Amino acid sequence: MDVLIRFGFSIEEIKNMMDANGEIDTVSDKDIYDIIEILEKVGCQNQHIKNIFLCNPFVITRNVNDIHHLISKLYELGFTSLFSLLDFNPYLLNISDVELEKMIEDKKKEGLSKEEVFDSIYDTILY
Amino acid sequence: MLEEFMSSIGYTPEEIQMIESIYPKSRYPESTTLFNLKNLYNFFRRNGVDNHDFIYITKMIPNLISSSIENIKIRINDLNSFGINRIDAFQIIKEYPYVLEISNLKIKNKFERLLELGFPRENILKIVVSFPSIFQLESISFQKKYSFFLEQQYSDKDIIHIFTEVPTLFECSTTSIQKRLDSFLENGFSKADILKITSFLPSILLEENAIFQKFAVLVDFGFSDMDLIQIIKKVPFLLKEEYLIELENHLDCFQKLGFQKEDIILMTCNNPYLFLYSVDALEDQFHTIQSFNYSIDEVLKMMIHTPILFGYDRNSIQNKMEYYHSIQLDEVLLHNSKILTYNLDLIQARYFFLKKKHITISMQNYSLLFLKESEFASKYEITREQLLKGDF
Repeated sequence: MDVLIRFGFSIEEIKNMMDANGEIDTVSDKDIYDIIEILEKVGCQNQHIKNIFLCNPFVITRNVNDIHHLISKLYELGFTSLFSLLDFNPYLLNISDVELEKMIEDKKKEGLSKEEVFDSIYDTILY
Repeated sequence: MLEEFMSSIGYTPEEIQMIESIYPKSRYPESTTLFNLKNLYNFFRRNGVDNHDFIYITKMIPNLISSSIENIKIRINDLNSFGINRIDAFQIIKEYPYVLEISNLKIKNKFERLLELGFPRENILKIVVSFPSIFQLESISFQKKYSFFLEQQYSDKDIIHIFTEVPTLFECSTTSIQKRLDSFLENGFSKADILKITSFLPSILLEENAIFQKFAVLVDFGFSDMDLIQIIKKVPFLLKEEYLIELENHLDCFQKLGFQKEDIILMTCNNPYLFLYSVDALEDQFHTIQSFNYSIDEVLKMMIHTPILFGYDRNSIQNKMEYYHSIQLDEVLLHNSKILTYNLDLIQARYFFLKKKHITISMQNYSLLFLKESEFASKYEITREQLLKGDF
């Protein structure tokens, strides 16, 4: 939990995150640090990371590799400036790379063009 | 002497009688039985086994009293050789004393079958420690269960996760699991939803109750079956007991804040994460936004329109509000609070880009700032990446 305090979260904010996700205290500081590092690598600044964690405390207990795979999949599909996408929709980090791919495939099957699919992900809070 | 000792550590008269019937004084000198029992007791106590568990172990395997402690040490070493540490080995013995009696080959066989199926060693260790009765199951059943889940279109990764989280599924019949999966289908969930939900919370495969029964509070409030399906598939976290017991408090909280019933249903169906945030956090967020100079009615309207605002960092919301105020768009917030969801860096970049193109943003054309990604790109021939890098 130290890593969250050092990152600048207040006690009240940490409490809120733990109230929402009671499993946070089972995660090591190292894992939390790794998640922060992934987010920094996609361009997230402190205020984005704070917004992501506060809005979606469940990202903290996600498997680090799963987040890596999701980020790689987003890049592979052609999404850019991921920090702006994740700041807009922090819940996106709860889905898996496989779910993302399927979600996109389903939208294409519905008849959406590639641009429309991208628009829907950039512009809609997806779960 | 024996009886006195046994009584002192907690054996009941019936349990003492049972042990004495196995070791009759006529055949076994009492002093020898007492000596062996004390030795065994001290050995287990030194290794973290309390009186209650010790009694349970000796009741399950009374022969232990006459066997050498060295045999137990050998079994501990056997378990160590599979990667099970000493503490976990004793945990296994407490849970499943018969592990002391089964052959090493049988234990090895279980490990090998699970490894062949693709279970990582660390998962196997977790499985055997939390469910040591797995040693009594037939190895062939592992393959059968695994194949069953594969046939249901679960991925290998999900299957391994499911059995690691709920290893007791190894002893469930495929018929009962199938019945459970069918009950989801009957309730209106799609195959994909079921895969997602059960992979997220595999313990639900063991439950007898219909899934909607868990949400009786919401049903009574007026949520339809379709609403529940949407909520559960969007946020399967909600199936956890810790959230279910709070549902009523959340509904009360929203009502106290001033939301109408239909708005609460609309808002939480749009964003079921609202049920996961604590009631205190929801109230604080509501009042914080109100403190940015908005009336209760205005905040209610903003939240109904854009429920994710309950989750965003309040500093992020405040920065956006101040920015929209600085460019004279604060009025837009009252009828389109969705603009508070957009990443501020992107909106600022678009604003500067348009300004550079001599387009002044006002209440009449503000929607240009919020054009869809592809529309903005094709209209102004600039990508999101270029905008955010200031490459214009």
